Order: sequence, then structure tokens, then C-alpha cells
Amino acid sequence: MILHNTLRVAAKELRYLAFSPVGWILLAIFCVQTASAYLTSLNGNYQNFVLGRGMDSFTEALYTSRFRTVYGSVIQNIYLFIPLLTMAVFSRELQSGSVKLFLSAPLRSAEIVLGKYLAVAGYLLLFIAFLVVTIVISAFSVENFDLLAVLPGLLGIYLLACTYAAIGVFVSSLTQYQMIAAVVTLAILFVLSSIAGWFAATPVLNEITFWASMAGRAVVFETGLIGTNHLFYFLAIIAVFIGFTILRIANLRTGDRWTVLTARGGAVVAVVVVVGWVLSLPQHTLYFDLTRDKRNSLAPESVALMDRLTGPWEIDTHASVFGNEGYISWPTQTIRDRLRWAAYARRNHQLTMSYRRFYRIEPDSHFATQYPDQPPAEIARRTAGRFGLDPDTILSPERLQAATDVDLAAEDYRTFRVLRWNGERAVLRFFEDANRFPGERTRGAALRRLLDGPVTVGVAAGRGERSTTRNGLTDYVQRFTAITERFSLINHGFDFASLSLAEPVAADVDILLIADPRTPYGEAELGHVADFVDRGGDMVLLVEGDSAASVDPILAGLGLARGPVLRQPHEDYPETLILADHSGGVVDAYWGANNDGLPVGMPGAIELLTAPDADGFTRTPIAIANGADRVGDGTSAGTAPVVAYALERTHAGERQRVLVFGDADIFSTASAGRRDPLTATSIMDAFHHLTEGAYPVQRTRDEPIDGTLTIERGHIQGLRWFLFGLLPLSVLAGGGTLLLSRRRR
Amino acid sequence: MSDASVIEVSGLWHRYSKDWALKGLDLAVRGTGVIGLLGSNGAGKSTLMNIVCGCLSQTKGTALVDGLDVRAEPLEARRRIGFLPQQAPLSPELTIREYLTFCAGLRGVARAEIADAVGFVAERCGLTAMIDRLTANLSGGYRQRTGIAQALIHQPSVIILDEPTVGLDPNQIVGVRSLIREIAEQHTVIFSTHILPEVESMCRDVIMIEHGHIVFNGDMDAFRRVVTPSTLILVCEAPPDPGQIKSALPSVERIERLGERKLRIGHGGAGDIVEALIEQGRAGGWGIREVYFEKSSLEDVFAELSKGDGK
Repeated sequence: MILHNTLRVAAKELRYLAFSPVGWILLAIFCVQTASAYLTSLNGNYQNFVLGRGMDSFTEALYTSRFRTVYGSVIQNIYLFIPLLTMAVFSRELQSGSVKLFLSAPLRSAEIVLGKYLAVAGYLLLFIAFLVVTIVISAFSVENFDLLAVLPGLLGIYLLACTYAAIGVFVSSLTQYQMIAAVVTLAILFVLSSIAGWFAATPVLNEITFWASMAGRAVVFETGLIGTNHLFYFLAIIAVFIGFTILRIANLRTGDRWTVLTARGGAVVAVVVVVGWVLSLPQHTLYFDLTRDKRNSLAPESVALMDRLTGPWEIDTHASVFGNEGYISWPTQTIRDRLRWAAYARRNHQLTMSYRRFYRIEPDSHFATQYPDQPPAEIARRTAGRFGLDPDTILSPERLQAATDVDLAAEDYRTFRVLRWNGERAVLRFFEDANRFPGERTRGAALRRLLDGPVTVGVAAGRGERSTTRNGLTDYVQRFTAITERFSLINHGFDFASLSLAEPVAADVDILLIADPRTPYGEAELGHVADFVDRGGDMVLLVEGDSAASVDPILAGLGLARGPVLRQPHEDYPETLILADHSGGVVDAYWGANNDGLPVGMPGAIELLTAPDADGFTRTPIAIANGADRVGDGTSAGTAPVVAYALERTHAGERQRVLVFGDADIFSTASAGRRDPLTATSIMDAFHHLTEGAYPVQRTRDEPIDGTLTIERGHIQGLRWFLFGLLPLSVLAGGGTLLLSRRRR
Repeated sequence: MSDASVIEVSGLWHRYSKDWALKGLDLAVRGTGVIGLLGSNGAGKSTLMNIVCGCLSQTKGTALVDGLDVRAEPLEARRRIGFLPQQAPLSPELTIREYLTFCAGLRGVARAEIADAVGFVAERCGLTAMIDRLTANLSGGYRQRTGIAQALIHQPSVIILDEPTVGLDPNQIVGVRSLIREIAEQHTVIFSTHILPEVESMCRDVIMIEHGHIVFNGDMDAFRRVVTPSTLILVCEAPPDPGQIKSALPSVERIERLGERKLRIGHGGAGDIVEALIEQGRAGGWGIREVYFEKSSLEDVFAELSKGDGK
């Protein structure tokens, strides 16, 4: 009976909306506005596609990317439509006295309110239907369109509109004047749609305004993710305002005093907030990532790490507030920063994010020149004031250094994060590239460091080897120890320690790196290398044709020998650059995910020859110089020269791995500068192999398959006529015809 | 007339903000027929109607409809009542049929019976020919008829009409009054009005409220006695000396000369004063041309009934 009455009221209200010009006009305007956003996005993407600058995923580009999408436009503007739709819901009944028809009928106040609200919510489905039209068009315009991924966005927009409508219905119940209802609703919705960031400098207010920002919640859905906490948030707000409206309509009968009403309203808020809060607790929250490639979720490797990271954990950001990325610690930005870790917090919600702010005023910096002759502390104080920051919360580097366990100088006084868990810590850095923020792989490496500790690479030094501390073109700083480089191994779980082979290799060295010694090792040094290999240590050996002769006994111990220098004719490069292939079945096991057929550059590479005694190692060629010629007469004429081997054997029950490269430049800063497409990943793959897949952490994710537009320019022109003209005009014509036919009765 | 009360109100109080609109009302309405509810503006009659109809919740006291407490069993009580507020609660976007169908559903008429109910009340209220017209396009009389039809759609025990003839032209008033009389043959109809002749011509009983109190509650005969004025006008060719009239008719209390041939005579309410005057006039050769009671206005009646009230 309750449902029947509610539906009866809803049906009547729907008739009102259907027979009112306002509803049809609003729908037509919405059509035009949405069509404009959609066609702008579609056309822009089409042009980029034609120019070869297409997106990986056009589903993302058109709907879920948060950047100039049709959803984004609707989320931004939907609040403009709601007040006109809801202004008359109750105010017209109050003005005409027809509310007494409901009050004198055997109806509960809740049935009246729910019925009217359901009608508005039902009418809003027509708005959603128009979005569905664009989705259908997209499904035929984008190859392998990710239909599921766009559904959460629809849900988010609908929930947002329904929440705005609940507010509008409540306001409508407060006044008999429709215009007042519309204006007040518009004002409230404007505030709610733009409140995020207001009073952001005050943390408590920042939290409150962020919480109250409904549009921000809808944006989460826009990305293809459904979180039950956000779902309950919208339902809770709807429940609060529907509750208020029920109280208001009941009050028409009871005429209770405002104190009683306030108490009841407070009770409604309390109940809904408590229920909503409990349901929104992280441990009660479920997430559904409907994107095909699960781009809103962590990759399986990260999930596995987070599943091990149980209990409280912390992200302790040390922010150089006036430097790059220092802004993430500003009070206005911390909530946004928290969202960067949302996917991780979903796996372990016991996350604490803290910020320590410090200043670093370089003598020749922009800030210093603005306040000449002022000490850094005073410059920092004045600069903080100009940014609206509290200077007392910004420490000098010295004060912060005294309070933290991380060497600020080693981090070059840049902004960095320290992940802490169970007494362990791992530094996570920002990078000097376009993205700047650490991605899932570097974050995964930091997490693994917390769980498993780092891998220590001992770098042989003292015989002119390639260095991980000296910043020469032939050295290895760029790819091994540069803290600002995204692909530098130091940011992927590795620690580097220079060592002299004159001493036995320390027990905590996991991998020994010997790269192109220029002067020969003595017997003792060679003995220490042999001892390391004999005890099962992993090793990387990189040799050049002119490396010190003492590499030969090391090679011999591995069943290898240096062969002839190679040359490869090119049109564009010197012939000393060997473009080695690592494709083909023989090397798949080594190169793994990054084996995509591209060559790796090895300047001045030599062939590696095999000797009979491999001391139990299996030797797998991992790079073959297919197009290269041997200088002089090689010993392996007829077969392509092998320029790198992966050696493996079982030692004391564990797998021991050694990588040998017939080129030491492959890991050099110069190679990195050449932007060889696979140089970086070759290094990553090499060490991934050595650590049995532990580091660098991989991130396997399905590649998007919806990066092709099948639509043509003529189609877009046709769509323009359809969406801008035919559809809104049909809405107006249909509505107008209906209204005229009714009016004549 | 049935002994069971269709409406029973006892100790009914209602307060708006600081002011009491009803001050301990007690009344009972039994049987079918038209009950006039009279009262000056602000007297409390709309408050009483709203409480009985469930549109308002009393501050204290009880109101029963068909024995159902409107506060304890509001839904059941409201099923027994049909209500036409002063402004007919129509939906301009609907036709009469659509509107009545909606109202029938709201009032709990079974789905299978709604079409018949709509047809019945449309016929009863003279709306059949207009049934597919939009209510927005109806004249005032038809709007009121439609309003009455919605109040009648579920065949309630009591139908309450708040000033149903206000704003109608004379023909429409006649039509609506006629309709109310018809309905009252089978239902208890309570209607409020300011028009005394309307009360006299239609009502079986009259309830009069003033300042939140019931100042009259009785049948039409009793009401007429209250309404009948205590002055009459005598027009004659040779008006007698006032002292002569007083001495001849002891019930005459005062005489006021209104013109050369016109007198206003105040009397103690004797029922045979007119006959006595005519007899004296014939005997005294006054040349009587007219004798008639002065008309009472509703205000006079309110004033009369409110004497000693206002507590």
C-alpha cells in the first residue's frame, strides 16, 4: 500500500513534469549543452587520431579521463538544471492550497515526499538517456569501446543529480514561491558544486568542504570506479534532505515549534551520518573497477605487495615547500595528495599521511633575489606569507635534519617521501621528467623495500671501472644512482656500494657489478671474485674489447671468452654501434615482458665466445648481433655473434645468476642520453632477472585496445546535425505538441 | 437519524504560536444532512475543519471520525472523510477524469472500482460532459463541482466543504447548493459559510464558533429563533403616538421614529406581536401599509450569540 501510494504520487508528479514546458525546455538545453561537450571532445580526438597523435584509449579520452570529457562537462553544469526542475514540486501545492488534497488523504508524509521525489528522479533519467545516446554513438565510433568503463560515470552523474534534486525538493517545500525556491536552490547547489578548496588553508574546514563537495565525488565515478563509500555518501545526503522534507510536510500538519523541528532534523542528520559513516568506513567499503584494463586499481604485483603490508603504515613526506612538488604539503593540497594514494589505501586503510615542511633557499634562487641581503630564514618567512602559509610550520633544513632519520643532503634537499612500516623505511622520490610523480613501479619498489629490504649491489672500483658515483658519460650514474631519474635502479629497490676487490666481497652484497676494469686485477682480487662466485653470489660482468686482460680469467671461470670486436653498417649511425636483437624464442625467458622486438644499442660491442668448461652454468644468449660483422676473422663464422649471455646454475639449493655483456657502454650515461628505446628497460630487465623478479617491481596491465577511431569526418558533421539540431528540436517538438494538444482540452 | 456520531470532538484545543484558535470545543455530529459551520473570520472554524480532516494536528483534545481518533488512527480516519478546501485543490495539468482517477487512488478506492467511482461522481456532480476537459480550463462552478467530486469519490461518511460557494456567480451558487443538498441525502455534509440565507435554506443543523468557542449548536428551528430579530418596521398612513402603542401592547419596549410614516418598534420577543399590531392598527385607523421584521445580518447574529463570550 505504501508503495502504491508513493507510486501514485510519483505518477502524478511525472505527469506534471511531462505536461510542463519547463521540463521539456530544460531537456532540450541539456541536449545542446551535452552535445557541445561531446562533439568538442570527439572532434578533438578525431583530429589527433588523424594526425597520429591518438590516445591509447578513446573510451578514456571521451568519458573517463577527467580532462575535457562529456562527463566532466555534465558534472560541472548539472546543478544549473536542477533548481528549475524542482522549484515547483511543493511550492506550487503550497501556493494553490492543493497540498491539502494530500494532507487530507490517507497518506503518510513520507509517501507524499517520496512519491514526488521519485518522479523528479525518474525525470532525471531522461537526462541520463541523452548521455546514453552519446555512449551508443561512441560505441560505434571507437573500436573495442569499453562500455562497462563508462557506466560508473553515468551512475555518478545520476547520483549527483538526484542528490541535488533532493536538496531542491526540500527547498521547494519551504516556500510557496517557485522563484524563491529556484534561486535558493541554485545558490545552495552552486556552493556545493564549487565548495571544494574553499577555506582550504584551515585543515578542519578543508576536510569539511572536501566532504561536502558532491561534484568531487561524482568525478570518482567518472573514472570508471564505483566505491560503495561514495555511493553511500550520495544516498546519505539524499536521505538527509528527503528526511528534512518529510519533517517539513509533517510539520504542515503538526505545526511544531522550530525547536522541535530542529531536534528532529538533528536526529535525522545524526542517524544518517552515523549509518553513512559506518558504511563508508574503509573496512566496509567495496570497490568495483569496471574499466577493462583496471586502470583505477593496482596491478597484481602491487596488490600482492599491499596484501603483505598489514597493519599501520605511514607516508612521511619531507617537503621542500618552495621547491618542486613542495606544494603537495601545503594545507590546500594535502587532500588531493591523499587521493594519489587512494588505490593503496583501499588495500590497507591504516595509512597515515604526514608532512614535514622545510625550506631550502639557494643563494641564487628566485626567492633569494627577491629579498637581497636577507638570511634564508627571513626569506622563507616572507615567502611563506606570500603563499598564505604559516611560517612556523616550515623548518630550516638544519632543524628538520635534527628531527628526521633521512639524510636531507643525500636527497639534495628536494621533496621526497619516506614510507614507514613495522620499523622499516623506504625513500620514495619525485623525478625530473614530465610526470614527476612516482608511478606504480617505483612505489611498488619502495613498498617491497619495506617488506623485503633492498638489494645491495657492490660496484667494483679502484681499477678504472665504470662508476656509479662519478658522473662521466661512460659511467653508470644516470641509470644506477641518480635520484631524480625515474628509471635509475636506486629508485627501484637497489642500493649501491663501491667496493675494492682487494678485500673479500662483503656478505651483504647481493650482486657484484664489474664493469670494464681498465687496469688488471691482482691475484687476490681475482680470488675474491672467484670466492664470491663460488659462494653463489649473483654478478654482472661487462667487458669491452680493450678492458684489462684480467677480465679474461673471470670470463673463463664462467665458460666464456672475449671474441672479436664487431662492426655494423648503418645509414645513420657509426658502425661501432651494434644494435643487438633480443627477440626470438631463445631469449624470451630472459627479456620477459619487455621483449617487443626492438634492438638494444651496444656501442663497441664484442662477441662473447663460449669455452668448454662452464663450471655448471647454463649459458643462454640474450643478445645477438644479427647484423654485425666481426673485425678480422672470427672463430664463429656463419653464426650471428652473441654479445650477451645469461648464466644460471643451482648453488646450495638456490639459483645463481650471472649476466655477461660484451659491451660496458650499454648501461652508461651516454647510452641513456641517446634515448635508446630499450636501453632503460634492458637494464631494468637485467636486474629483474638477477633478483628473480623481485626488483624492479613489474606492473603487468592489459594494454588498452580501444585506441582506434572508426568514425569519419563526414560522420562527425552528421552527428553535429543530429545532436545539435534534430535531437533537441525533436524534444521541443514532441513536448510542444503534447502541451498544445493538452491545452486545447 | 442514527445515534452514532460521525464526528465527535471533545476538549479540542489548538494553538498557533501564542494564540489559541480553539478553546476546548465539544461537539458531536450525527446522521446525514447538511451541517452549517458558521463563524466570523478567525473564529476557529477552518482550524476545526482542518483538524477533523487530518490537515492539522490539534494541540490537545480528541477528534473522532466514525469513532476513529484522527490522531491515533489518522489514515483510517482520513479514509472516512472527504474534504474540499476553500480553494479547490485541483491539478491544472490534468483532465477531470485523470484528476478524479488520481484522487480515487489516493483515497483508497480499489483499482478495479476506480473507473466506476469516477463515472459515478462525475454524473452526480454534473461533470460527465466535461470529463475530458483540463481542470485548468474549467469555469469556477465546474471547478467547485470537481472539487466536490474529489471529496465524494470514495463515498466517505463525512464531507467537509469550506465555503464552497465563495467566488461563484448566482447561477453557479444555485447549482452547487443543489448538489450539496443531493449529496447530503446520503452523507453528512459539513460546510462553512458566511451567508445566512444559505444556512437557512440548506442546513439541518448549525454550529456556530466564535473566538474558539462553540456559541451555538442546534437545529434550524432553534437557530431561526436566534436569527429572528427583535425589531420590526411599521409603515402606516397615520402613525399613532408611540405612547399609545406602548400602552396597548405591553411587550413593546421602545419605539423609534424613522420618518413621517415609519416607525421601528422594539419588542420583548412575543410571538404574536405582528398580529397584535395589525389588530391595534385596524382598530385605531392607522392605515397600516407594511409590517415586517428587520433583517438580521450574520454579524448581528455573531454579536448576539457572542454576548458574554470572548473568554
